[in-house]
Parts: sequence; C-alpha cells; structure tokens
Amino acid sequence: MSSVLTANKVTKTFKQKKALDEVSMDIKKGDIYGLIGKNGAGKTTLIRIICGLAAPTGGDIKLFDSSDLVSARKEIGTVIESPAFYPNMTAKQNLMAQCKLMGVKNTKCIPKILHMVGLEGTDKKKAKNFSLGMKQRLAIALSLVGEPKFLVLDEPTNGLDPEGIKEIRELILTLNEKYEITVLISSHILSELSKIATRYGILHQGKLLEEFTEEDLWKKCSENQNGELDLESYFLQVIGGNRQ
Amino acid sequence: MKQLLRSDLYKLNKARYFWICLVINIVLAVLSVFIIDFSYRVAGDAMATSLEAQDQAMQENGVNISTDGLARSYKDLSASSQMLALSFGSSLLLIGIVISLFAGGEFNHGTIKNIASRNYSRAKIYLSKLLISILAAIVFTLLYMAATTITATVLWGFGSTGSGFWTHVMQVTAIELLLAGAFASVFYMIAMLIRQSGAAIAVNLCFLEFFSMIFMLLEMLYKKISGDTIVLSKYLLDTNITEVATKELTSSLATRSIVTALVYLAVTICIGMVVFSKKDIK
Repeated sequence: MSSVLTANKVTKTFKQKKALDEVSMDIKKGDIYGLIGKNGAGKTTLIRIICGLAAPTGGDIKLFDSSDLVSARKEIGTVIESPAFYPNMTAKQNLMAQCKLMGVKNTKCIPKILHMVGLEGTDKKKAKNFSLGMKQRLAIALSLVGEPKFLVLDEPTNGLDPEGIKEIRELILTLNEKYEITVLISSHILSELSKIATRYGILHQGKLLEEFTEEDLWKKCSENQNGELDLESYFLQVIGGNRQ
Repeated sequence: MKQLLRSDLYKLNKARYFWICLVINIVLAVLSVFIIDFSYRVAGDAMATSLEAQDQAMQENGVNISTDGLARSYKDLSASSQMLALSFGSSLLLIGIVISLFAGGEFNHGTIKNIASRNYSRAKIYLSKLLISILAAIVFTLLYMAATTITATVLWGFGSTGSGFWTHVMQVTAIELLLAGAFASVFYMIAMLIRQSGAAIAVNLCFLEFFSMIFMLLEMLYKKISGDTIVLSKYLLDTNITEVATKELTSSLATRSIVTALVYLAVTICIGMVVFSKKDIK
C-alpha cells in the first residue's frame, strides 16, 4: 500500500524547547489516522509542518512519496485549529473563493459540498452570523474543495453538538470508504476517535510514543462496561508510563 | 499563479471596505475641487501674493516644497491646467487602509492557512496579493483623477491645451501610477510583516504622515545649523509624486522618480517576501 505521508525524524525547536522530537510516522493510503495527545503534546505543531505553515528544524516529510511538497499539497485539504473563513461572505462565496484558488472551474461542486457538510440553505447568511458548529462545518467544506486525496483535520468536531459530531463522523467515514480519502485527524474526544480511526499515534511531549492499529488496540485494551474500546484508558496508561 | 490572482481579485471584489473606500475616494476628489474653488474665490487677488510668500518661507527654512503648478488667480483655474496637480497623492490614505485590510485580514481571519497549506509557494502567495494591491492603488488613483477632472471641468471649464498636452498627461500619469504602485508595495509589506489589519493601518498611516515630515525636519535643521540647503526628500515617494505632477517633467526628474519608485518596489518586495517565506504561520 502506498504512503500518503511519511515523516522522518521531524523535529521542531522553539528557542530552547523541543515541540517535536524526531517524530517518524507513516500514513498509508486509506488510513484514518487518529493522532492523540494531551494539550501541548505537539499535535498541532506536527500538523502545521505537514501543511506547510511551519518549517521543521530537522527531519523531512514526504507527501504521496514526493519531496516536492508544494505540488503535493494540491491533493490535501486542511482544517487547522479554529475554523478559517471570510466572515463577510456567505458559505457559497467562501467556497467560490476556494474554488478559484484551487482552479476548480466546475462550481457545481459547491452545492454538493454544502449538502455533504449540512450547510445547504445558508445562501444569504454571512459566515460571521453562523453558529460555532456551522463555522466548523464550513471549514470542513473548504477543505473538501479540489477533491483532495488526503484530509488533515485538527480537532474538527470542536464546538459541535452530539448530533453534529455524529454527522461529521459519518462524513469522514463516507469520504474514506466511498471516495478513498485518507484522513489524519487529531481529537481530544477519544471515544469518537475510537469509532472511526483505523490507526493511532500517541504523541507526548513532542515524541511519538506508540503507533498501533485498531486490531492492536482490541488486543491491548480491556473493554469498559459498555463493551467499547477503552482508548482513553490505554492512552493514559501509555503516557503515564512515559512521565518524566 | 493565475488561480491565486483570480481568488484574490474575487475576494477584493466582495470586500465591502473596498467599495466604501472607493466611494469615499470619489467624494473626496469632488469635494477637494469645490474647496479649492471656494479658497480662490475668497482669496481673490491676494492668492498670488499668498502663494509667493509661502514659497519664500519654505525656501528660507530649507523645506523642499513649492507651490509650482498652482494657479495664481481664480481666472487662471481650468481643468487642463490643474488636472495633474489635483489628481495625485490624495488617495494614498485610503489606499493604505484598503491594503492593510486586504492583506492583514487574511491573518486576522486565519484564512492565510487555507492558502499557504495548498500548492503555492510563499513567494507566489506574496506576489499575488501584491499585484492585486497595486491594481487597487491604480484604480483608486485613476478614479480620483477622473473625478477631479470632471468636477474641475464643470466648475472652471476644461481650458485650452497646447500641442503635446495629452502626451505630457500620459507620461505624468504613467510615472504617478508607478509611484502609487511603489507606495502600495510599502503598505503591503508593512501589513504582511505585522500580520494584523488594525496595527497595519496604524503603522501605514504613521508612515504616510511622518516619514516625509522627518526628512523635512532634518532638512530644516541642516539649513539652520549650516546655512546650506540639503535635499534629502527628493528620494521620497510623496515628494516625487508632487514634483512630477506640478513641475516641468524634465528627463532628470522623470528618471529620478522612476528609479525611486523601482528601488522602493524592489526593496519592499525583497524584504516582504523573505520574511513571509521564512516565518511560520500561526
């Protein structure tokens, strides 16, 4: 299976502090990769480096087996930290701007994308008047412009109600299964992540402590009272064992 | 690059602040002609004396500003004689505001992440927005020119023109647009360095108001201390904007203005692009 993302000993140092310490990971085509870590573990820093917003201090990254990251980023869609959009434009206008940026000439994809994220019927409403959940959906919609092969989502369900979280979860699963989009998703809601991720990576104090598949998790975890995967307990066990 | 330009143009077109500032630009242009008309009517025959006294005072203090190009009396006023003197330099404040909002807004809203995480190098992203900023400056300048000329024609008549008039107008306009583009590049560089639209507006306004004032004060101080005249301000963009519009366009003036504009463009593009490429986007 080909690699979508290969990170090789990626390091990021801010003044004296190492935010990332020789992180190596490999995301294969078709994965839904769940990146787990506490606040300040380095998840967003790693995602920023993958998306070209920050340069690594050491190591390198390949996207789709290519070192030409600028060209390769045509195939990725991103939602990084807080949702980013033009507040005085409607959802449709925001997507139109993104279509022009990506060179997408067929703007018939806009209503389709709005429907996918549940923002149909928002034609006249400016994005600044959206609820937090709607803003998050708009950010996801923008990441889908250009039919990306790899989605990088940093806390995409922040601010969503349970129904919204479920819809986004189902959207990610559809994108992965039906459209074969590989997904890297970081989230604090481990119970939700355990329902969709096929592989996991635990980041702690800038180091990638462990990577494991969904099957590995089944074998390693004890089930909780509801019979679900106890990702949270395993995560706490792993980072607890590495506390300095 | 074409796609970046299309996207940036679309965003500017949809930006309410752009259209509001454009309308204000035109209104100010019209009002400025009415104010001049009123001033000349009130001053009457004393206007010539007043302008000469002003020129003398500036020279005595070593300040490199003259009233060349301004009519000496109301009856000398016409659209053709005042067109160039009225048209240039007055839109810069609004241009600075628009560019600060356009460039700084991408950081305020976080949308720079959506652009920088796609398949465009930092250099192309910088250049695309710069070109659109320069285009905005050109549009503002030309509309100001059109509004002042039309208003002046209505109030004073167009007046007679000699041979070579329109060639001269086009030459001056071309150089003025290059100087406006250089100003736009300065405003844009400042906005991209500061990465925040409100602070960028403040710094750009300070640059516009105080940068040439500092040079003028230095010239006055030098004159007071040494008795000699030194002209530092001839390498400032706004001095060149004024001189090209009001003085006879000699080849040395044209060359100096064009070189000044190109140097400002080159320096600001280099600094802005290097810093934007190296600095992480948060």
